[in-house]
Amino acid sequence: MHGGGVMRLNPGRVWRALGVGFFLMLIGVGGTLMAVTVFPLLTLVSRDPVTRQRRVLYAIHLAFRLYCGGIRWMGVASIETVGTERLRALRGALIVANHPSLLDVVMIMAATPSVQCIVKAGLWRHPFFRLTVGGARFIRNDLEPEALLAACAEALREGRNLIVFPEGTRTLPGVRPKLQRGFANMAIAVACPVQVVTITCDPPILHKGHSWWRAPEKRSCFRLEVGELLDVGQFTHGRARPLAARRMVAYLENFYAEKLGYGHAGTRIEETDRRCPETGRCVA
Amino acid sequence: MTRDEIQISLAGYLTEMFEVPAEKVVADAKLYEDLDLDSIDAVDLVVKLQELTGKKIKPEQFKTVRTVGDVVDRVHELFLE
Repeated sequence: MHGGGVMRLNPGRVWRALGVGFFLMLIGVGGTLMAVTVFPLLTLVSRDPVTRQRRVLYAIHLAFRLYCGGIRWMGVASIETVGTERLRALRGALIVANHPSLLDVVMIMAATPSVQCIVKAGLWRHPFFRLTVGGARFIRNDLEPEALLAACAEALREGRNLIVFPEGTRTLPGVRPKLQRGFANMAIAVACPVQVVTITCDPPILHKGHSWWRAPEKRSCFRLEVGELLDVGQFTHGRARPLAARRMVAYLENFYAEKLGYGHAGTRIEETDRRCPETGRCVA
Repeated sequence: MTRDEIQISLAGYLTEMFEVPAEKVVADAKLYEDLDLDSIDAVDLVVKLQELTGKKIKPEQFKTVRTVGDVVDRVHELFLE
Protein backbone atom coordinates (compact mmCIF):
# COMPACT_ATOMS: atom_id res chain seq x y z
CA MET A 1 0.00 0.00 0.00
CA HIS A 2 2.82 2.36 0.94
CA GLY A 3 5.82 3.58 -0.98
CA GLY A 4 5.51 4.25 -4.67
CA GLY A 5 4.59 7.66 -6.03
CA VAL A 6 6.31 10.89 -5.21
CA MET A 7 4.15 13.04 -2.91
CA ARG A 8 1.17 10.70 -3.05
CA LEU A 9 -1.77 12.35 -1.44
CA ASN A 10 -3.89 10.56 1.10
CA PRO A 11 -6.25 12.02 3.69
CA GLY A 12 -3.85 11.38 6.58
CA ARG A 13 -1.09 13.20 4.82
CA VAL A 14 -3.22 16.21 3.94
CA TRP A 15 -4.47 16.32 7.54
CA ARG A 16 -0.92 16.30 8.92
CA ALA A 17 0.25 18.99 6.48
CA LEU A 18 -2.66 21.25 7.44
CA GLY A 19 -2.06 20.40 11.09
CA VAL A 20 1.58 21.44 10.93
CA GLY A 21 0.55 24.69 9.21
CA PHE A 22 -2.09 25.30 11.86
CA PHE A 23 0.28 24.73 14.77
CA LEU A 24 2.93 26.96 13.22
CA MET A 25 0.33 29.70 12.88
CA LEU A 26 -0.81 29.06 16.45
CA ILE A 27 2.65 29.97 17.78
CA GLY A 28 2.23 33.45 16.32
CA VAL A 29 -1.48 33.90 16.96
CA GLY A 30 -1.54 32.17 20.37
CA GLY A 31 1.64 33.92 21.42
CA THR A 32 0.16 37.29 20.44
CA LEU A 33 -3.15 36.55 22.19
CA MET A 34 -1.33 35.61 25.38
CA ALA A 35 0.90 38.65 25.03
CA VAL A 36 -2.12 40.97 25.04
CA THR A 37 -4.19 39.12 27.68
CA VAL A 38 -2.43 36.75 30.08
CA PHE A 39 0.92 38.50 30.34
CA PRO A 40 -0.37 42.06 30.92
CA LEU A 41 -2.73 40.59 33.54
CA LEU A 42 0.15 38.80 35.26
CA THR A 43 2.17 42.02 35.09
CA LEU A 44 -0.70 43.89 36.76
CA VAL A 45 -1.27 41.43 39.58
CA SER A 46 2.40 40.78 40.31
CA ARG A 47 4.31 43.98 41.01
CA ASP A 48 7.36 42.17 42.27
CA PRO A 49 9.52 41.25 39.24
CA VAL A 50 10.56 37.91 40.75
CA THR A 51 6.97 36.81 41.35
CA ARG A 52 5.99 38.13 37.93
CA GLN A 53 8.76 36.16 36.30
CA ARG A 54 7.80 32.95 38.11
CA ARG A 55 4.20 33.32 36.98
CA VAL A 56 5.06 34.24 33.40
CA LEU A 57 7.41 31.24 33.12
CA TYR A 58 4.74 28.96 34.51
CA ALA A 59 2.15 30.34 32.07
CA ILE A 60 4.53 29.69 29.16
CA HIS A 61 5.12 26.16 30.47
CA LEU A 62 1.38 25.46 30.67
CA ALA A 63 0.75 26.97 27.23
CA PHE A 64 3.40 24.76 25.67
CA ARG A 65 2.07 21.67 27.44
CA LEU A 66 -1.32 22.40 25.99
CA TYR A 67 0.30 22.98 22.60
CA CYS A 68 2.11 19.63 22.64
CA GLY A 69 -1.07 17.94 23.84
CA GLY A 70 -2.91 19.46 20.90
CA ILE A 71 -0.37 18.20 18.39
CA ARG A 72 -0.69 14.70 19.80
CA TRP A 73 -4.45 14.76 20.17
CA MET A 74 -5.01 15.94 16.61
CA GLY A 75 -2.67 13.28 15.30
CA VAL A 76 -0.37 15.78 13.61
CA ALA A 77 2.68 14.05 15.11
CA SER A 78 3.36 11.78 18.01
CA ILE A 79 5.54 13.00 20.84
CA GLU A 80 7.32 10.48 23.03
CA THR A 81 9.13 11.43 26.17
CA VAL A 82 11.66 9.40 28.11
CA GLY A 83 12.72 10.50 31.59
CA THR A 84 11.00 13.90 31.48
CA GLU A 85 9.90 13.52 35.11
CA ARG A 86 13.52 14.44 35.89
CA LEU A 87 13.05 17.76 34.08
CA ARG A 88 10.09 18.57 36.33
CA ALA A 89 12.29 18.37 39.42
CA LEU A 90 15.33 20.02 37.86
CA ARG A 91 16.62 23.28 39.43
CA GLY A 92 19.50 25.50 38.46
CA ALA A 93 20.75 23.31 35.63
CA LEU A 94 21.86 24.07 32.14
CA ILE A 95 19.76 21.99 29.74
CA VAL A 96 21.62 21.20 26.54
CA ALA A 97 19.97 19.53 23.58
CA ASN A 98 20.60 18.82 19.95
CA HIS A 99 18.41 20.89 17.66
CA PRO A 100 16.69 18.99 14.84
CA SER A 101 13.40 20.92 14.72
CA LEU A 102 11.34 24.01 15.50
CA LEU A 103 9.47 22.07 18.17
CA ASP A 104 12.55 21.39 20.33
CA VAL A 105 12.30 24.40 22.60
CA VAL A 106 8.53 23.96 22.87
CA MET A 107 8.86 20.32 23.97
CA ILE A 108 11.55 21.12 26.54
CA MET A 109 9.60 24.05 27.99
CA ALA A 110 6.47 21.91 28.10
CA ALA A 111 8.37 19.40 30.23
CA THR A 112 10.19 21.87 32.48
CA PRO A 113 8.23 24.23 34.76
CA SER A 114 10.94 26.78 35.44
CA VAL A 115 13.11 27.36 32.44
CA GLN A 116 14.59 30.37 30.73
CA CYS A 117 16.21 30.74 27.37
CA ILE A 118 18.36 33.12 25.40
CA VAL A 119 16.32 34.77 22.66
CA LYS A 120 16.72 37.17 19.77
CA ALA A 121 17.12 40.75 20.95
CA GLY A 122 14.67 41.88 18.24
CA LEU A 123 11.77 40.50 20.29
CA TRP A 124 12.24 43.30 22.85
CA ARG A 125 11.15 45.75 20.13
CA HIS A 126 8.13 43.66 19.14
CA PRO A 127 4.90 45.42 20.20
CA PHE A 128 3.38 42.27 21.77
CA PHE A 129 6.18 39.82 22.53
CA ARG A 130 8.00 42.57 24.44
CA LEU A 131 5.88 41.84 27.51
CA THR A 132 6.40 38.10 27.24
CA VAL A 133 10.18 38.11 26.89
CA GLY A 134 10.51 41.00 29.34
CA GLY A 135 8.20 39.47 31.96
CA ALA A 136 9.90 36.09 31.66
CA ARG A 137 13.23 37.92 31.91
CA PHE A 138 14.56 35.91 29.02
CA ILE A 139 18.16 36.67 28.19
CA ARG A 140 18.94 38.82 25.15
CA ASN A 141 21.37 37.39 22.64
CA ASP A 142 22.96 40.76 21.87
CA LEU A 143 24.67 41.14 25.25
CA GLU A 144 28.45 41.30 25.43
CA PRO A 145 30.00 37.94 26.42
CA GLU A 146 30.61 38.99 30.05
CA ALA A 147 27.12 40.43 30.49
CA LEU A 148 25.54 37.36 28.86
CA LEU A 149 27.46 35.05 31.21
CA ALA A 150 26.41 37.16 34.19
CA ALA A 151 22.73 37.08 33.19
CA CYS A 152 22.82 33.30 32.70
CA ALA A 153 24.69 32.81 35.97
CA GLU A 154 22.04 34.80 37.83
CA ALA A 155 19.22 32.67 36.42
CA LEU A 156 21.02 29.44 37.29
CA ARG A 157 22.01 30.52 40.81
CA GLU A 158 18.43 31.53 41.52
CA GLY A 159 17.39 27.97 40.67
CA ARG A 160 15.88 28.44 37.24
CA ASN A 161 17.02 26.17 34.43
CA LEU A 162 18.42 27.48 31.20
CA ILE A 163 18.09 25.92 27.75
CA VAL A 164 20.99 26.16 25.35
CA PHE A 165 21.32 24.51 21.95
CA PRO A 166 25.09 24.18 21.52
CA GLU A 167 24.59 23.50 17.81
CA GLY A 168 23.73 27.19 17.56
CA THR A 169 21.01 26.72 14.99
CA ARG A 170 18.73 23.97 13.72
CA THR A 171 20.61 21.20 11.99
CA LEU A 172 19.88 19.21 8.89
CA PRO A 173 18.98 15.55 9.39
CA GLY A 174 22.08 13.36 9.29
CA VAL A 175 24.57 16.22 9.41
CA ARG A 176 27.05 16.03 12.25
CA PRO A 177 27.26 19.52 13.73
CA LYS A 178 30.10 21.22 15.53
CA LEU A 179 29.14 22.35 19.03
CA GLN A 180 29.79 25.88 20.26
CA ARG A 181 31.68 26.06 23.56
CA GLY A 182 29.71 28.86 25.21
CA PHE A 183 27.45 26.53 27.20
CA ALA A 184 30.45 24.62 28.61
CA ASN A 185 32.25 27.80 29.63
CA MET A 186 29.05 28.93 31.31
CA ALA A 187 28.45 25.66 33.17
CA ILE A 188 32.05 25.57 34.41
CA ALA A 189 32.07 29.24 35.44
CA VAL A 190 28.82 28.83 37.38
CA ALA A 191 29.59 25.24 38.49
CA CYS A 192 26.06 24.13 37.64
CA PRO A 193 24.99 20.67 36.52
CA VAL A 194 24.39 20.04 32.81
CA GLN A 195 21.32 18.07 31.82
CA VAL A 196 21.78 16.32 28.48
CA VAL A 197 18.70 15.93 26.28
CA THR A 198 18.46 14.12 22.95
CA ILE A 199 15.74 14.98 20.46
CA THR A 200 14.88 13.05 17.34
CA CYS A 201 12.13 13.39 14.78
CA ASP A 202 11.41 10.59 12.36
CA PRO A 203 10.52 11.10 9.55
CA PRO A 204 12.01 14.57 9.92
CA ILE A 205 9.74 17.62 9.80
CA LEU A 206 10.17 21.25 10.90
CA HIS A 207 13.91 20.99 10.37
CA LYS A 208 15.92 23.71 8.69
CA GLY A 209 14.59 24.33 5.21
CA HIS A 210 11.50 22.15 5.65
CA SER A 211 8.29 23.53 4.16
CA TRP A 212 5.33 22.89 6.44
CA TRP A 213 3.05 21.58 3.69
CA ARG A 214 5.43 18.74 2.80
CA ALA A 215 4.08 16.11 5.14
CA PRO A 216 5.92 12.79 5.01
CA GLU A 217 3.98 9.66 4.13
CA LYS A 218 4.20 8.41 7.70
CA ARG A 219 3.25 10.37 10.79
CA SER A 220 6.34 11.92 12.37
CA CYS A 221 7.44 10.79 15.78
CA PHE A 222 9.19 13.33 17.99
CA ARG A 223 11.16 11.83 20.81
CA LEU A 224 12.56 13.74 23.76
CA GLU A 225 14.96 11.69 25.82
CA VAL A 226 16.38 13.04 29.06
CA GLY A 227 19.89 11.67 29.48
CA GLU A 228 22.74 12.04 31.89
CA LEU A 229 23.04 14.87 34.42
CA LEU A 230 26.68 15.88 34.02
CA ASP A 231 28.71 17.19 36.90
CA VAL A 232 31.22 19.76 35.64
CA GLY A 233 33.73 18.41 38.19
CA GLN A 234 34.38 15.44 35.92
CA PHE A 235 35.82 17.79 33.28
CA THR A 236 37.68 20.28 35.44
CA HIS A 237 40.01 18.16 37.63
CA GLY A 238 42.14 21.21 38.33
CA ARG A 239 42.11 22.30 34.67
CA ALA A 240 41.49 25.95 33.87
CA ARG A 241 38.05 26.76 32.47
CA PRO A 242 38.99 27.08 28.75
CA LEU A 243 40.51 23.60 28.71
CA ALA A 244 37.79 22.02 30.82
CA ALA A 245 35.21 23.52 28.43
CA ARG A 246 36.98 21.88 25.48
CA ARG A 247 36.86 18.51 27.28
CA MET A 248 33.17 18.85 27.97
CA VAL A 249 32.38 19.80 24.38
CA ALA A 250 34.40 16.86 23.06
CA TYR A 251 32.50 14.55 25.41
CA LEU A 252 29.12 15.78 24.19
CA GLU A 253 30.13 15.71 20.53
CA ASN A 254 31.02 12.04 20.94
CA PHE A 255 27.85 11.36 22.89
CA TYR A 256 25.59 12.82 20.18
CA ALA A 257 27.58 11.23 17.38
CA GLU A 258 27.06 7.83 18.95
CA LYS A 259 23.48 8.44 20.01
CA LEU A 260 22.32 9.82 16.69
CA GLY A 261 24.46 7.47 14.63
CA TYR A 262 26.24 10.10 12.56
CA GLY A 263 28.74 8.63 10.23
CA HIS A 264 27.45 5.08 10.35
CA ALA A 265 25.34 3.92 7.46
CA GLY A 266 22.21 2.55 9.09
CA THR A 267 19.23 2.11 6.82
CA ARG A 268 16.26 4.29 7.41
CA ILE A 269 14.11 1.35 8.49
CA GLU A 270 16.56 0.14 11.12
CA GLU A 271 16.74 3.64 12.53
CA THR A 272 12.97 3.83 12.68
CA ASP A 273 12.82 0.51 14.50
CA ARG A 274 15.38 1.68 16.98
CA ARG A 275 13.72 4.99 17.70
CA CYS A 276 10.12 3.92 18.03
CA PRO A 277 9.45 1.19 20.57
CA GLU A 278 7.09 -1.69 19.94
CA THR A 279 4.06 0.21 21.18
CA GLY A 280 3.25 1.10 17.61
CA ARG A 281 2.22 4.57 18.69
CA CYS A 282 4.46 6.07 16.08
CA VAL A 283 3.15 4.11 13.17
CA ALA A 284 0.67 6.14 11.20
CA MET B 1 59.12 44.24 24.80
CA THR B 2 59.92 43.66 21.14
CA ARG B 3 57.44 42.23 18.70
CA ASP B 4 59.26 38.91 18.73
CA GLU B 5 59.11 38.69 22.50
CA ILE B 6 55.43 39.53 22.45
CA GLN B 7 54.79 36.85 19.84
CA ILE B 8 56.64 34.28 21.98
CA SER B 9 54.63 35.20 25.11
CA LEU B 10 51.38 35.09 23.11
CA ALA B 11 52.24 31.68 21.67
CA GLY B 12 52.89 30.49 25.22
CA TYR B 13 49.46 31.69 26.39
CA LEU B 14 47.66 30.17 23.42
CA THR B 15 49.21 26.73 23.88
CA GLU B 16 48.88 26.78 27.65
CA MET B 17 45.35 28.18 27.93
CA PHE B 18 43.70 26.77 24.82
CA GLU B 19 45.94 23.88 23.73
CA VAL B 20 46.59 25.55 20.39
CA PRO B 21 49.46 23.63 18.71
CA ALA B 22 52.54 25.90 18.86
CA GLU B 23 53.27 25.54 15.13
CA LYS B 24 49.87 27.05 14.28
CA VAL B 25 50.67 30.33 16.04
CA VAL B 26 51.92 32.32 13.04
CA ALA B 27 51.35 36.02 12.32
CA ASP B 28 48.53 35.54 9.81
CA ALA B 29 46.68 32.77 11.69
CA LYS B 30 43.08 33.86 12.33
CA LEU B 31 42.13 33.51 16.00
CA TYR B 32 38.56 32.29 15.47
CA GLU B 33 38.83 30.28 12.27
CA ASP B 34 42.36 28.85 12.36
CA LEU B 35 43.00 28.58 16.10
CA ASP B 36 39.46 27.64 17.12
CA LEU B 37 39.06 30.38 19.72
CA ASP B 38 35.65 31.84 20.57
CA SER B 39 34.54 35.16 22.04
CA ILE B 40 34.81 33.86 25.62
CA ASP B 41 38.37 32.68 24.97
CA ALA B 42 39.10 36.17 23.62
CA VAL B 43 37.98 37.69 26.92
CA ASP B 44 40.27 35.30 28.83
CA LEU B 45 43.15 36.17 26.51
CA VAL B 46 42.63 39.90 27.03
CA VAL B 47 42.79 39.38 30.80
CA LYS B 48 46.11 37.58 30.35
CA LEU B 49 47.45 40.34 28.09
CA GLN B 50 46.51 42.94 30.70
CA GLU B 51 48.71 41.07 33.17
CA LEU B 52 51.52 41.04 30.63
CA THR B 53 51.35 44.74 29.80
CA GLY B 54 50.21 45.97 33.18
CA LYS B 55 47.71 48.14 31.34
CA LYS B 56 43.94 48.11 31.08
CA ILE B 57 42.73 46.99 27.67
CA LYS B 58 39.43 48.41 26.53
CA PRO B 59 37.12 46.00 24.66
CA GLU B 60 36.97 48.36 21.65
CA GLN B 61 40.76 48.13 21.27
CA PHE B 62 40.33 44.44 20.58
CA LYS B 63 37.17 44.60 18.45
CA THR B 64 39.09 44.71 15.17
CA VAL B 65 41.62 42.04 16.11
CA ARG B 66 41.46 39.07 13.74
CA THR B 67 44.89 37.45 13.59
CA VAL B 68 47.84 36.64 15.80
CA GLY B 69 49.71 39.50 14.10
CA ASP B 70 46.90 41.93 15.05
CA VAL B 71 47.24 40.92 18.71
CA VAL B 72 51.01 41.43 18.61
CA ASP B 73 50.47 44.89 17.04
CA ARG B 74 47.95 45.96 19.72
CA VAL B 75 50.13 44.75 22.57
CA HIS B 76 53.15 46.46 21.02
CA GLU B 77 51.19 49.74 20.83
CA LEU B 78 50.29 49.35 24.51
CA PHE B 79 53.94 49.05 25.45
CA LEU B 80 54.73 52.19 23.43
CA GLU B 81 51.98 54.24 25.08
